[in-house]
Amino acid sequence: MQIIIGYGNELRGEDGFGIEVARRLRQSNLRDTKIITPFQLTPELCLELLGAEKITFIDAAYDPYAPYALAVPLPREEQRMSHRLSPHLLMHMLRFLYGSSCRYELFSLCCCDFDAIADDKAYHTALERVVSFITRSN
Amino acid sequence: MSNTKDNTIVIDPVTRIEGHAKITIDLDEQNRVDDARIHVTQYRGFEKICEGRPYTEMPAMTARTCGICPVSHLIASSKACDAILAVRPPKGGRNLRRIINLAQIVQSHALNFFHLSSPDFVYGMDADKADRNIFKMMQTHPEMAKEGIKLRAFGQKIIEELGGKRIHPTWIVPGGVSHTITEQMKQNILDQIPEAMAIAQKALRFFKENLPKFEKEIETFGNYDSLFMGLVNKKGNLEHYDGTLRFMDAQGNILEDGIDPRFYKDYIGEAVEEDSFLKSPYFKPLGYSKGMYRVGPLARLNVADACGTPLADRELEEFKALGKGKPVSNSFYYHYARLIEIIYGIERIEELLGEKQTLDENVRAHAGVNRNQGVGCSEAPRGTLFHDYSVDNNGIITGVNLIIATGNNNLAMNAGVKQVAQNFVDGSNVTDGALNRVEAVIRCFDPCLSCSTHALGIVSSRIELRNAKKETIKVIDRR
Repeated sequence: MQIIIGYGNELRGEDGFGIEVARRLRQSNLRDTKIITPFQLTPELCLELLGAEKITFIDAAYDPYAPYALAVPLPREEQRMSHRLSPHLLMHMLRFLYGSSCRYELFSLCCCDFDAIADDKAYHTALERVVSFITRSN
Repeated sequence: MSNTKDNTIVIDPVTRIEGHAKITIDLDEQNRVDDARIHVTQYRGFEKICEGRPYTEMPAMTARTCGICPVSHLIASSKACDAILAVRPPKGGRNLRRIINLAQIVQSHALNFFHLSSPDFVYGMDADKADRNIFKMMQTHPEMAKEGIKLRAFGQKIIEELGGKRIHPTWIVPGGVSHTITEQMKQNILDQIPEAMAIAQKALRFFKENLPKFEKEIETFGNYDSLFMGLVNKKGNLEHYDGTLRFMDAQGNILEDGIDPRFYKDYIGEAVEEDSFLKSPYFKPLGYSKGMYRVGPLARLNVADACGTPLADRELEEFKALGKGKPVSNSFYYHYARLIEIIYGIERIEELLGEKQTLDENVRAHAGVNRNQGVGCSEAPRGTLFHDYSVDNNGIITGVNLIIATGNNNLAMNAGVKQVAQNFVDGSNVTDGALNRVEAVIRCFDPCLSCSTHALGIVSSRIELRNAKKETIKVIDRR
C-alpha cells in the first residue's frame, strides 16, 4: 500500500498546495492507496503509516528565488524537534521505532506567497504536474 | 548557537520549545552572570486582526493562534461567546467540551515529557549535545519514545473523534458543541484508556526514580518565591474548564479566592517589556514585578486542595509533601505536575464518559447578542487562558484582549533563566551543559511562544546599538 500525505494550511495561500493535490488525487481512484491530509506532521502520524510500502509527502516551502519550481530537498540530519516534525524525522521515527523500511518521496512546491496564490497559472501548472506524475506512476 | 562577545552570551534560537526565542546573559567585570533574560522575537497581532469580525468567527479565528493548543483557544473563545449570548451550554455540551479540553492537555503534556524533555532526563544535562535529542532516544529508549507516541495519539484521537479533525477542529461553538457523540465513539475512547493509563503511570514511576539524579537542578531550576494562579472548582479542587480563580502566595496563603474570571482585570495587570513581544502579566494588588505569579501544571496542583480522582489524588499527596507544608516552588517539578495531570486527565475523561448526560442530544444553546462583552477563561496545558471580547449590538468585534498561558509565566520564566544562569554559567568557561540547563529551565514551563505573542499596538519597537563596553551609542525608537 502507498500512503500519500498532502499537508499544509489551506487558509495560507500557496501553503495549501499539498492539501489541494491530495484532494485531486482522491478523485483519481489510485490503486492500493491511502490519502491523508493533516495540517502538519506530528509524531502519532507514525501509527497511521505502519504497513505502508511507499509514502509520498506533498508540501509547500517558502522560496521566492525559484517560484513554482517543484523541488525535492535532500534528506538532512534533523536534530530539532518541536510539536511538528519534518518528513525526514517522521521517516526516521518509522524506521527506528517500528522497523519500517518503506520508501518515501517528497514533492515540495517552492512558494512565494503564503497569504494568497500569487500566480494562479503557475501554481495550477505545478499542481497538474504533481497529480499527473503520481497518477501515472500508480 | 552561543558566543561570548562583549560580555554577553546569546542562545539563539532556544531549542525544543514551540516558537522562537532568544536568551541574553550579561556578564559582569569578573565574568559572573549579572543578568539573564528571555526575549520572544515573534510577532503576531491577533488582537487587532480580529477587530471588525463577527463574534461567531472568533473560536475558529483565534484557534489559528496556535497549531499545538487550538482546542484551548476554542474552549476559551467559545466561553467568551457564551457570555456574549448570555447562555450556559447544556450539561452534555459542557461535558463534551471538558473531555476535549482534557484530551488536549494529555496529548500536549505527553509530547513535552516524552519527546521534548526526556533526553534531559535520560542522558543528563551534561550529555554530549549530539546525544541529547530524540534520535538518540529512539536508539536507546525506543519503548519510551513509542509510548510517548501512543499517549499522544490517545489524546489526539479523542480530539479527532469529537472534533472531526486533530488540529483546528470546528466542533466547539458558541453555546456548546455542534453535535453529540455516539455510543460507539464513546466506546472507542474507553477502550484506549487502560493502555493510556498504564503508560502514564510508568512514565511517572520513571520520573520519580530518576529525581535523585537532578538534585542540583531541583534546587536551582526556577526555585524562588512567587505567587501561583489557577482555576479551582466549587470544592477547591483541580479544574480545567470552569470554576473560579485562586491566587496563592509562596507560603501557601490564599490571597484571593472565588474570583469570577470576568473580573480578571481587577487582579491581573499586563506590563510590556521593551525587549520582548511577550507581555508580562502580574498580580495587580502587589504591583509589577512583585506580583510575579506562575500558572500551569505546577501552579494548578499547588492551588488545588485535591484533584478529585483517586489515582491522581494519591500522587498529589506525594507531590504536595515535597513542599513541606508550603506550595512546591521548584519549576523543575513542572514535569512532575504534568505527569500527574495526565493521570488526572485520563481518569476524568473516563468519569465524564460514564455520565449519562454526556451523550445527550441537547448539546448547544442558541441565542443572539445579549451582552456587549464576554470573557472566557479555561486552563490550557500551559496555564490559565483568557479571551476577552467586546462587541457592538450587531455582534461585530470592537476589542479583544487575550492573556495566554505562556504569557502569564513570562516574569517567572525570566526569573528562572537568571537563577539557572547564575548557578551554572561561568563566564570564563561556558559549557554546553550550562547553556542546555538555561534552555531546560524554559522547557520546564513548556512555553508556546507562537501562541502567546499576539499583542499589537502598545509593544514598542526599540533598537539599541551598544559598543563593546555596552554603552548605548544609538537608539532607534519606532513607537
